[in-house]
Amino acid sequence: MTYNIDDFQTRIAWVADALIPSDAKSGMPSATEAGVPERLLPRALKERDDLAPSFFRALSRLPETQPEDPMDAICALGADDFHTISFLIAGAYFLDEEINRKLRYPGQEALHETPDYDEIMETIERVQSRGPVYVDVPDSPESV
Amino acid sequence: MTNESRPTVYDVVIVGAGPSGAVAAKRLAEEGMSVICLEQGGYPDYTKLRHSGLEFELTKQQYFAANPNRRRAPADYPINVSDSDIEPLMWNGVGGSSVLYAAAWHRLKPSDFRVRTVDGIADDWPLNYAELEPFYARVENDFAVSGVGGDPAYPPGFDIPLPPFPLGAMERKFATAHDRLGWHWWPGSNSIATVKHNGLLPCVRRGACVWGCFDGAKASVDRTHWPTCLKLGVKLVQNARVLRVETGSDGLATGVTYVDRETGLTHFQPGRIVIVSANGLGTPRLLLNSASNDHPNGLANSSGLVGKRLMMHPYGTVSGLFDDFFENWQGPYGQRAYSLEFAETRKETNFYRGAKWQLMGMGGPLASVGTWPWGSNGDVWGENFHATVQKRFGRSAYWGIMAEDLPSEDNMVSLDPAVTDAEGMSAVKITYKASQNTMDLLDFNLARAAESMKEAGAYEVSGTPLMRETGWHILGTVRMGNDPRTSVVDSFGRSHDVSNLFIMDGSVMPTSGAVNPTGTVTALALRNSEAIIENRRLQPVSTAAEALKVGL
Ligand SMILES: Cc1cc2nc3c(=O)[nH]c(=O)nc-3n(C[C@H](O)[C@H](O)[C@H](O)COP(=O)(O)OP(=O)(O)OC[C@H]3O[C@@H](n4cnc5c(N)ncnc54)[C@H](O)[C@@H]3O)c2cc1C
Ligand code: SF4
Repeated sequence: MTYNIDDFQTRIAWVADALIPSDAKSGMPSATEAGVPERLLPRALKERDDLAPSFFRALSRLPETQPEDPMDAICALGADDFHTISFLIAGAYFLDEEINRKLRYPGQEALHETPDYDEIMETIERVQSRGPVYVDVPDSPESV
Repeated sequence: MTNESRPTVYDVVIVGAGPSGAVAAKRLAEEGMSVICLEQGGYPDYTKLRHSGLEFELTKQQYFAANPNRRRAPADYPINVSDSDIEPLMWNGVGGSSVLYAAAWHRLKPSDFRVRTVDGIADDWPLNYAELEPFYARVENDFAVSGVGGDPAYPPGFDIPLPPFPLGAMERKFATAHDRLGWHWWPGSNSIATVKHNGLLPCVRRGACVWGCFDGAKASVDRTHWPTCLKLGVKLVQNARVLRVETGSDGLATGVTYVDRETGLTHFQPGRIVIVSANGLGTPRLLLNSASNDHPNGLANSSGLVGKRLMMHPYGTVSGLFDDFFENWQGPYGQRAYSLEFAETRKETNFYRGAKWQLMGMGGPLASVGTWPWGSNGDVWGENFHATVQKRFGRSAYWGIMAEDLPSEDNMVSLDPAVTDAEGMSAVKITYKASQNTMDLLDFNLARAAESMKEAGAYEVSGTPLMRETGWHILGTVRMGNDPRTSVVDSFGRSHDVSNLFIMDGSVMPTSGAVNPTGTVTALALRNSEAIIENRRLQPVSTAAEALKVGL
């Protein structure tokens, strides 16, 4: 069976904001404010097309409009469906560059740093000065 | 049905193209032996990894999940884990689990070879640290091990061939904390190239290591060994599921029967020597599946120990939250640092042996609301979401606590005849319970690691004692020893029962040590290969009619 994301937009909106509401303190947007339903989730579902069928199947077990306690309703789906939904919604949310900028996450960068060998040597010398931490046994190299 | 009349007879037939099989194939081929390797999977397709964009976290598990029961790729086989505290993890394909390994690299300590002598429990190995040391040094070069030599947790002489990674803010926190505590700490040693070496490029620290290294820096043997093996003339047959090791009427191995997974056809591949390197699950599975009238309990199993004494390094985590923001998401992933302070038996504790602690990367924002290493993520959603991300992302660290697992015959791998893989071969069932010793050992180490976290500045610390999907190291199920009544293979991996059958992988380890095993497993494979080369003129091969028919 194929699913059309447009048929689920109302559900996606309340589910996404139940999982990721806005937060005035940190200035972080809610999932819908960040553009999860229309912009980011379609990208996430394209990346994880393997999870898309179970995502829509789980959504179809939820009411169309927001219930009184939305988190309870999502939890009631059971651990596997809860995981699929929350993973994809959060995964979509963190595809947004602005959100990552706010969190100071540059993505997994290619780094080419040279170690500070002096620092490394000073650090390990302190450990070495505390002496060996292995048990010498009769056939260890020194006693063979 | 076998449908081949006269296939080429090789000097050596190897089952499994992971690190053990690759090390053996390369060394034996260098000496001019003809070698064929049968591998149930194909080459990894690294282009499936979205390693550099913001999609990385979302997609990393799609193709490169470590749990075969979740991944369910065609080369995988089902593993019944209903009676196990830990789920085994692996990659089935060319490169074996080195495709996914974190590449944290260690040697065992001298006492790990002498647990009975030192502690009066478990067993001594039939070889010692000094005997394995030269082979450790050789594989460390081949596997591009980087780090800092001179670690006082080992006897002198553990030199590391490649330079270390830089120390970051996270590593510095723990280095100074352990100075204050007076505890051991050492910069991470990893089989990850920091400079160009043996076909590898320098690591760029993107941290994809356990989902496949796209950037070509991690020493997985599809990169470090197989290109050389192929140049040396080793024949690598992909998608070949080996069903049985066959024996002749003289009791010696004649070769193996395998199914070509692409055609569905069954073939017999004869060989003068058979080496099984299918890991601590795949090897006992194959030996048990090779039962016949002559050996109804499985091949090489007169001791009854094939499949018994499964050890998997039970793993706990201790996570800490810090006020300051520091980089904790880049690679290597791979250990950034480790501590062996509590790796030996201590007088004041109520358990034997010890644990290695490894300081690992934490991942990006998506990982901060996941279960790893936090244990569960039920309470991170809704009104807790942003606060959780703020607290964890860039402000956390964790110690992975790897416990030495002691052997018990109750922990085992057996065939699960009710379930088969796609080729009709029996699946496996594992029965595994973490012992009281393990639970006490983890409790103690988690408490000490929490002290370390606090000393390093963590304002909040949490721990998870026994994580379930952590069976990266599958050991002990075809143990070696000198006595054929109490062991399956000798100290060179040769079956006591079938003298041209060798086992080379972690299943031969009589005890597990507390450290990541690939250094030891590959050093053993190299040592055993040298013994095969040295003894090749005296090596018995099958003269049985079955073998003659196919030209042995
Ligand atoms: C996620 C993960 C992280 C890890 N991290 C570390 C680490 O940081 N440090 C460390 O030292 N170790 C680590 N390990 C363990 C490490 O990968 C293994 O020690 C190493 O790969 C063992 O090599 P092996 O060749 O003996 O077995 P494997 O690598 O398991 O290779 C066995 C091969 O045999 C093949 N095979 C099995 N049965 C058959 C059959 N019937 N027919 C044909 N082929 C067959 C399999 O497909 C596989 O390719 C990790 C493992 C995993 C899964
Ligand atoms: S951190 Fe290094 S070893 Fe790990 S995936 Fe990146 S380049 Fe490869």
